[in-house]
Amino acid sequence: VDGKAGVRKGYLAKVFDQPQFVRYQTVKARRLLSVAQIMSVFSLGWIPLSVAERTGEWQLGSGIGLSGITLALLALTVYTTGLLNASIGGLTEIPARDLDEIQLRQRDRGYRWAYVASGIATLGFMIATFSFARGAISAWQLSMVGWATYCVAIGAPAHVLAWTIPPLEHDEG
Amino acid sequence: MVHSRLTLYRTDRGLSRRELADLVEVNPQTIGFLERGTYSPSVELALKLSKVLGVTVEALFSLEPFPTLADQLGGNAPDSR
Repeated sequence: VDGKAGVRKGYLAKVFDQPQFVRYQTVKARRLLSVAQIMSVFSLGWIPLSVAERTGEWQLGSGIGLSGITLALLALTVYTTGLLNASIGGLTEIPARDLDEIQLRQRDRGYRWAYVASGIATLGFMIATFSFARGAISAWQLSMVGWATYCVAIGAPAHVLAWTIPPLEHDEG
Repeated sequence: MVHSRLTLYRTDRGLSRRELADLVEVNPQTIGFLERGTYSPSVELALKLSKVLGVTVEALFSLEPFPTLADQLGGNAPDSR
């Protein structure tokens, strides 16, 4: 066989090519991580300020600092976001120059559908704001839901890819 | 859909997916996608694969399903039963 080995691989491409990420690249694992990431983002946007509003302070009576809960949720969000990206082989993180033609095709499709989904989510948020802002939902709740929606929109391509790309195979057969 | 004989020629040359991927400068997953027919290659990639494996593009990819070995031997054709 002719040819010379030598794939151009940047730092991120090498990082996401690590064998420890293989177990997260099944269809089931990717979808679980997608749901977990969305839940952690919304928890981060909802729980801390909800508790703070009820207690009126940033320190819970039980001795557990609310800031600790916030930090724990933040850590969970960062962790699930990282694993979600690893589960799709880092397609949304690796620079385009380090992706091959099929990876670029997958990524572009993910971005296209994420753009549509984010637009619908933003529209839904605007309608909810104008419909319920006066009365049932307080301003901080709205701002937190808006923040969480923003975070999900930022990560939407990864979620679309997690639910759509075929399973990644690592066998050498 | 494009049908592929990539697996046949790759294994015949004793190459793993990763080795073939390195030779044509793509991700190993891409080789798997091409072998399963999930995605079709660009002209450039098809030419690179054919060059590396030493066969024509037509031998590697086809718009029609490749005949099976049984078909080629005539034992699986409906008319021959």
